[in-house]
Amino acid sequence: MKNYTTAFKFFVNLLIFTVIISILEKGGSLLKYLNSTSTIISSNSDLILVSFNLILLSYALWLLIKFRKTIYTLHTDSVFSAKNGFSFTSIGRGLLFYSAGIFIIRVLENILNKPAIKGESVAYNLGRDFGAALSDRIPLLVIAFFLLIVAQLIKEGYDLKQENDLTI
Amino acid sequence: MKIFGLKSLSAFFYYIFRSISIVLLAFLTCMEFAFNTDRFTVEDGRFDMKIPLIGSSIQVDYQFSDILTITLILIFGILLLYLLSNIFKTLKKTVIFNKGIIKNLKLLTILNLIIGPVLYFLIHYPIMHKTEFRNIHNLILLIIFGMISFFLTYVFQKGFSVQSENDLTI
Repeated sequence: MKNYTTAFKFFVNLLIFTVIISILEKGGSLLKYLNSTSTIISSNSDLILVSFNLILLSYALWLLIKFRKTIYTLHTDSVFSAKNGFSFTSIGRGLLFYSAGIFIIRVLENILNKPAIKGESVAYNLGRDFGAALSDRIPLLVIAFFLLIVAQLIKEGYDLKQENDLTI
Repeated sequence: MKIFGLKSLSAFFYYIFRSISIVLLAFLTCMEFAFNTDRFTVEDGRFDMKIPLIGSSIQVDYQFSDILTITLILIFGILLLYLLSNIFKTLKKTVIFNKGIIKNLKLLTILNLIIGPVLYFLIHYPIMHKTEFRNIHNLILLIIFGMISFFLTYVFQKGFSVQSENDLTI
């Protein structure tokens, strides 16, 4: 059991570390913008996007810390418990919401900052922005889906275990 | 929407992954057949190969290293998608915790945690002679998916033992 969760713990800790780095980076650019009038960030719309990005990153950090707690209790409790099922479901759903939020922010960033290709239609440029934003989100969406699968498996296992425990 | 069962997300993913793996296998076979039978043209150091049925063509630098890289990546992709489709095929069944899925998950873990990184370094250094790490995120993603499948194997093993215990009870 320990071998299985150790790898997962390492992975979650690594993710927490990268999210903290991203938060510091975004927070730094937000502070620089607030403290000086020089254009580190070009407009107010960018300021709003950076703020939303920061909020979403904080949400991701909260989800990961919650996930870390669940992983760390796995070797002491039984895997198939209602609590674990609920935790995995909420983390999986949370990651889906986070992916959707970041996707919207990336699309807006691309629309505002990336120059449109000359001679191409608005639909083409919009499609390019949507495609670029979606391709970045696919790994996280897959991870979220796998976590939802784990949650469902835990629930199925919990039902089986309860049935088993009731049998004399 | 249901995750497991006949009309569920698992069934949908099974058809998607199996279809993509078949298409990729057909593409690889077609490419290797074209190379072995000289059914391609070379212009400005790039080969041009017509893709049957679609009508379009692929153009890549005509170098052994490039062709070998494409072939290795395609084989890896086909294996990965085939294993994923097998896993989702098992999740369509009524009894989810079974030996077949554990075997497929173990193979998926080996593919992601051992074969994937070995292939990455093989392509990076001896084949393509790259010095920078611009596509390292692919390796990190492989390791992340490997860890998830490693954890899933454990959940399925536990579930299988509970299931077997349950089936033995009269």
